[in-house]
Amino acid sequence: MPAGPAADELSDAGVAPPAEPGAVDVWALVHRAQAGDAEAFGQLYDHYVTMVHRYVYHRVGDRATAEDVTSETFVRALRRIDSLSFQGRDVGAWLVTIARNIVLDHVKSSRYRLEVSTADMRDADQATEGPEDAVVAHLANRELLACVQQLGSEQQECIVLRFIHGLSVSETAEIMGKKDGAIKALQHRAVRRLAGLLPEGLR
Amino acid sequence: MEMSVREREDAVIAHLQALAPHLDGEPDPAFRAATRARLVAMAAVRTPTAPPVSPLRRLFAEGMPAPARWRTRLTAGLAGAALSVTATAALVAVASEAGPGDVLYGVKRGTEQTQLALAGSARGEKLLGLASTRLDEVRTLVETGPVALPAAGGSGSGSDDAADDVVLAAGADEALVVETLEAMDAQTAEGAALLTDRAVRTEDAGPLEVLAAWTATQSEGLAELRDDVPVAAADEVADSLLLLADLSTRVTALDSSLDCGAGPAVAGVDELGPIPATCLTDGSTTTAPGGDGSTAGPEVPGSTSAPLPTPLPGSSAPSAGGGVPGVPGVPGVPGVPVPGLPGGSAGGGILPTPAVPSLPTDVLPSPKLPLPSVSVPRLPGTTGIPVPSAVPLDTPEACLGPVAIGDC
Repeated sequence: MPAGPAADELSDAGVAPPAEPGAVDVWALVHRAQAGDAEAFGQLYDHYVTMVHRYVYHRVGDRATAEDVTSETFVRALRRIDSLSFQGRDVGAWLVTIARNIVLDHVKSSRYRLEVSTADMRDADQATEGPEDAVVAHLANRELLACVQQLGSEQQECIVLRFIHGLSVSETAEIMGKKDGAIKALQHRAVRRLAGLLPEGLR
Repeated sequence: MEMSVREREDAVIAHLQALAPHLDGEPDPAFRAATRARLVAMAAVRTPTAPPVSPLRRLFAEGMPAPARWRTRLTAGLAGAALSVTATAALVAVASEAGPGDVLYGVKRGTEQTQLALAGSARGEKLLGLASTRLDEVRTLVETGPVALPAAGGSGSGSDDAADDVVLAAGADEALVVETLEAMDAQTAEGAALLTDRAVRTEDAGPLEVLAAWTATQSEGLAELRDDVPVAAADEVADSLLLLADLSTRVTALDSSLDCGAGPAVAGVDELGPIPATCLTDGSTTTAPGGDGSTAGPEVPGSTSAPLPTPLPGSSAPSAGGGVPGVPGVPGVPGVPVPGLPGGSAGGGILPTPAVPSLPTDVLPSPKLPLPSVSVPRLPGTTGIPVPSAVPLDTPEACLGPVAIGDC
């Protein structure tokens, strides 16, 4: 999903980046969907549903709400698909922005809140090392997430979008409604703060 | 193990990225499949329509002739309404070029209402588009009106008798210009309120950017016409420019409000939408801009630096027509020293200003200044004052803090 720097530049120029071999040609799907091709919209859904669901799930913390919001996101996307054009838009970021706005409409506080239940951490069961290493790895992850949750609302959202969801700077900027430079600064401060918060042994 | 700052930060990032795949978040397969089926079914019954022409698109569409652009929107509206009656479609198409006063103008405005009803969440942008159309109509009225229409910014001196005769004939056009401008203002305010409300609700600066760009273009367009509109419409033009200036100030203030750490800082609502307030939060000082009472808006060069009392938030209401008392905001009147200082102007005349209610001088948090719009009589032989319009003179009266002329 992350488009990469060269593709970002092309998007800024209003041109769809050339699809890599094997990659989904998202803009072709968008145009077909705009023209009325229902299956094309289904394929867009296939391409983006996991990403949207993950974003929402980590924001709201429970599956039922996440599923409702994810559905609603794609319903709205379908309704607004005509207004989608090349000019500087990334389709994934557009969808996450819709999802984000729905969450904001439903959550009383406007603060970004990373919601992670420890039951969701599957890596502890998949450790290839000895049992002790698994425990250590698991604890370290919990510590890390706990520190992330201590960050300010914007720093948290920036960190999660960039590193948990793997979005690019410009995608993150679009979702958060900020400029690229602001995101870089936010990220820098957030990472520095995290590095300071983490206990010695885990660095 | 000692690590440099940079190494520590890189380790944090690597750690986060390694963590990502292990955090659950995959959609449940049953949910995923069911939702897909539902969406595809919805997509199958959707009627593709042409994309709404946003105000920003208008900025780039200068090359397109106005009737063609109107027809595109018309076509979208027709498709959406599933109108298939050919005769009606033909009528609507012909009406699309109608201007105020034409027989088919009512049909044109009616069609706009249909499109508005279909606009859904794009209603705000649609309204701004309609306001732009109103401006286009005024421009056409003014440019193709009777040749001898006495213009507000015209030569001024010369035979008043001949001018009187033409004024009578052109009276209808003046009324049309005023009406169209009033409709434009109403559509501007409603569209703006929808966009500002959306911006605050979703904490997204996007609608504000659209609004700012549109307001700039609209102000420019209107200012260009100012000298050419009929005399009786000059006040309405001034009001419209004021509204646009207010809007511009409001957009800038809301843009800052959105950055407030504790959530958008707004207090109350007026006809332009949410009213920005001072941000009260942990150390981040984002006061609504213009809280500094002597800041003038974008269009008034050389305005006074005297501290002026500021109105309470939410008390603003630009009134239509005529003298405009107490309207907060900055008039788009270049070069006129405001407020009028008695006896000090070249030519010995006193600049009358509309009565301004005297307000307490405590500065309240508000981005607006109550600079009145100035109606200035064109005095024969007056030199040195660039005056914007000629208007029948009311009893001169200026009550503004320490300056008092007439009955205060």
